[in-house]
This record gives sequence, structure tokens and C-alpha cells, in this order.
Amino acid sequence: MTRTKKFLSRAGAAALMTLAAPLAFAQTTTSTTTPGVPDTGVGGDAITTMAVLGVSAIAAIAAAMYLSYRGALGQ
Amino acid sequence: MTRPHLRFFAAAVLLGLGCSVFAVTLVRATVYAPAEPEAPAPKGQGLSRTQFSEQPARLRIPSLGVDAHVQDVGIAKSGRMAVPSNYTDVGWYRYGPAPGSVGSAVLDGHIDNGFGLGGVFRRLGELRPGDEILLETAGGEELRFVVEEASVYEVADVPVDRIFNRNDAARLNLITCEGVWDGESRSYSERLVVYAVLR
Repeated sequence: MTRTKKFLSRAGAAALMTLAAPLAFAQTTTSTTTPGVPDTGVGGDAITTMAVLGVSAIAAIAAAMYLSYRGALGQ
Repeated sequence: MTRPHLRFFAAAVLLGLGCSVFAVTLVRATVYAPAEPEAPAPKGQGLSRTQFSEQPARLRIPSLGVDAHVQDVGIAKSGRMAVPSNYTDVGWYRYGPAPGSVGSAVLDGHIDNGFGLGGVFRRLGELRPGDEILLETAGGEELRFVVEEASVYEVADVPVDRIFNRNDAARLNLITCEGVWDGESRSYSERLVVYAVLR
């Protein structure tokens, strides 16, 4: 009797898991195919962008002036 | 290496570095939008689900003067919808339905570029219910959508299920940034979503 009860409870659990499997898969699929909100703006970085442009331009101009000065001196 | 030679070498390196940083920054701010790499396609999903002729090719919004090329985009590694690779195109979410099919086709586009100047969806907030959105497919068919609603949400409150998974009609949803810039998250605080339906 006890063995029969154990068998029935195990069979019941297995049946439940089998039935629940497609549901679990469906939930996983939904969560992976619905993306988060996109980042569609970068304008807030405008000041940083302009600062980087300014510093790199000044560095390049200073280096170019030094090289041309050296070239003019023939050194 | 003598001191003058060292100075010459340092100046040459500085010149090269300065020019490179300047050029890369300028191009990223005005031409190529910074974009996260895309994640692999989710299982069972892919561009092959949609026939090439049904894929969107061009978006026109006559009332805003928008006429943009459509790129197909997937999911970025962060899990967000990916964005187009420049500031003038729009991105179609390729794992969703094709525009014109029942379901929610989603397009995103930049509101501004790296200098804060207008991107393709700069004026999206001016759309009102009844305005027309035209979408041309790769097969040459022109689909006419009509705006039903435009809503602004805080980033945390954006109803992604409503935007991506509403299956009661052939829908087209446009999304862009809105609100104020948050320096910590390096993103805008809100999103503007325009909901349109096929007519």
C-alpha cells in the first residue's frame, strides 16, 4: 500500500513537471525576446565632446607648430 | 637618443594622437552613433522569419519632414533594443513582426547627435493623433499608418510589453529619447513613444 502511494505521488509530480515545462519555456522565450528601452540620445555629452575636440585640436596644433619651427631651424 | 630628438619624437606622437582623437570624436559625434555590440539572436528568432520583401526600407512622416532609411536592429548585449548606427536612419526591431502584419512593429531613432543637434526623431513629439506615417517595404509596397497616441514615460515605467507585444492589430510604434540628460547613467530620463495603427 505504502509503495503504491509512493509510486502514485512520484508519478503525479512527474506529470505536473511535464505539464509545466512548456509554460516555463514560454516564459523564458518571452523575457528574452522583449528587449529593454533603447538609448536613442547622446546629446547630453555635447560639452564633453566639444572639450575632447578642443584639447585634441590644441595638442595637434601645438605639436605641428613645434615640428615646423624645428624644420625651419633645420634641426 | 638626444634631447632634441626626444622632443621631436614626442611632438610627432602628440600630432598623430591629437589628429586621431579629433577625427574619431568628430565622426562619432556627427556620423556614426556609438552603439553597444548586439547579442546573438534569441532562440527561434531571426530575420528569416520575415521575408525580405516585407522588411521596412524607408520611413516617411510628411508632417515632420522625415524621410529616413530603415536599418534592421536586434538586441544589444545590455538587453536593450539596439539603435541605428547613425543619427539619420531609424532602426526596425527585427525580432518583432514586420510592419503591416498583426502585432507591434517597433522603430527607434536618435533624438540628437553628439553635439546635441537634431537627430532623425528630434521632432517626434510634435506628432498628434490622426497624423500620417508612411512606411515603404523592401518590396516597394507603401503602408499607411495613423497616429493614435503619443506618450512620454520615465525610463523605469516604459511599458515594454505594450510597445513590443500588443497583438490586436497591425501596429507601428516609434520610440526615442526625451527628458533631461542623466550624467551618471549617460542617458535621457524619459522615452517618447508614438503608437500608430495601419489604415
